[in-house]
Amino acid sequence: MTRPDRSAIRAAIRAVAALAAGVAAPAAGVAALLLAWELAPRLGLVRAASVPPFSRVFAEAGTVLADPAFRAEVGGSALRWALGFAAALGIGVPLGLVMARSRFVRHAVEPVLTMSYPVPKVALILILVLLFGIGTLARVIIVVLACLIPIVISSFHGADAVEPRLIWSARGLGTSRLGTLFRVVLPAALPSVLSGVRLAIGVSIFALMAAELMIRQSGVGAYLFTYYDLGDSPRVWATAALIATAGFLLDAAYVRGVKFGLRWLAGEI
Amino acid sequence: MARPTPTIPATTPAPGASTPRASVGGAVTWLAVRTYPVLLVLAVWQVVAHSGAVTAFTLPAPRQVWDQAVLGWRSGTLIDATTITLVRILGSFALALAVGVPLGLLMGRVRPVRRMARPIVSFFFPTPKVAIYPALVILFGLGTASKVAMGFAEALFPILLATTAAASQVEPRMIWSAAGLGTSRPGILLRIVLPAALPAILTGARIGLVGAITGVFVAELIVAADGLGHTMAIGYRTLATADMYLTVVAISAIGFTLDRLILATRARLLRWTPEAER
Repeated sequence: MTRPDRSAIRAAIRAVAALAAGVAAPAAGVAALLLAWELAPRLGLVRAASVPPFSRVFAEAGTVLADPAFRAEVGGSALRWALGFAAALGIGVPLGLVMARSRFVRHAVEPVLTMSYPVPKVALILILVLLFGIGTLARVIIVVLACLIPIVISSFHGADAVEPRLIWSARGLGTSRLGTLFRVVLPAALPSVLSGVRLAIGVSIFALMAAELMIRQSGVGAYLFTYYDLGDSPRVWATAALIATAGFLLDAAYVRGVKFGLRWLAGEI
Repeated sequence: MARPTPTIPATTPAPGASTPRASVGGAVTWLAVRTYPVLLVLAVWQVVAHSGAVTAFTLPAPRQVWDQAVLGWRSGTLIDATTITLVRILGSFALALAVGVPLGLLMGRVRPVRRMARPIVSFFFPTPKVAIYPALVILFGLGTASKVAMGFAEALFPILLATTAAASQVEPRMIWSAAGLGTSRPGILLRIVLPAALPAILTGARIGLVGAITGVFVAELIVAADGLGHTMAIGYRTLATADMYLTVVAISAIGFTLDRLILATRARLLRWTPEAER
């Protein structure tokens, strides 16, 4: 054996160790959490009737996914969410852009945002039901209200930071005011808008789930609450875990989608 | 995201924004700009309630809600519900700070901790935590514990992520200097990393506070025996609509006051940073 061979082996060992640390440590964290969940009820640290062990919940999640009633509710919830989210995008992005370009609009809207920011929008759900009935409209409106603030604020900040010379150049070359807004300001503000949209995705799913848990008429939240009322705790934990996973996957899909679709964007969203 | 700051400000500062003017006229303008949303809401509310487009049942006039507030104040039910909700909000916020800040500092500075916690944190951050609430009720019962747990779950992640990000971006030279002068590792965390990360932590705390308010209130709305959210749920079920509007006003007032308090605390704690001058 010559010396270079030995150093190559050492380098290989180091690489394996680095890989192990990068993969094993995260895996150990997740494994510890799941193991605690599995063992706590089995060892009697918590009542197995209220917290079923992980394996039980995992198996139950398969049953929930196969349940046609659950699948039907997923479709309804997704539709309401998409309607509200599209409406919030349609209102929020233009409003934020205009706020950055027009001093009047900015002074009119800014105090409203500051004042409504700390108010829990979901507090309005039952009032909206009172005003608009128990149907789809009240729940769509709550989704719109919940995601409007992050979308408007991020669009405003993005558009506010646009280099004025870009706008002057476009105007000087004969682009109309509206054209400048959508062809110069919007692309320049896009990274900020996209981060706002990411926040809005999380907030809007929260609002929709809260609304469905409260109104208990239809939707995934209502499905979950039905089993809470029946005292079927494995079903409650499994459905909750599925909704949580769906939220996580939606966020991950959004981030991946943006990274893939808009490769010219630098940095995180 | 680091974006180049425009060389020329796009807009001039607001009339009387941020600094109150010395003149009376300036002060009036400043106050008018700041409070106009409340006045606008009251005016629209008054007009719509009296227009006959909606019944007094679905939209009671502001006067009726005010009478309901006086009634609730005298009987003590309003104060009781508000106190219960406020204590739960503050409890869950304090708990989220107590867990989020130390864990965030560790995640930001200690690589094994970051590696172990990251997949768990990145799973729970974007999930709708409210879906877990029925499970929390099964686990913690109908009382305060399940509400505080819900508020905590909503408040923790903004605080934790802001702290982690800021702690991992502390200027290395400051840490080397402190280590070179003989500061221990826990000492560096407390006396170098924590102050350096404080502006970001307080920004996270402001977002977390809204999470705590929303979490506690929603929890009380869904299943509870007391608190403001419960008052609203009962108002909905017993068709006492004035109570529902009163609850919205009360929780908005709590949210607005606590948000102002955290901004004032932030300004006071950050006197030494360039940010405080803004």
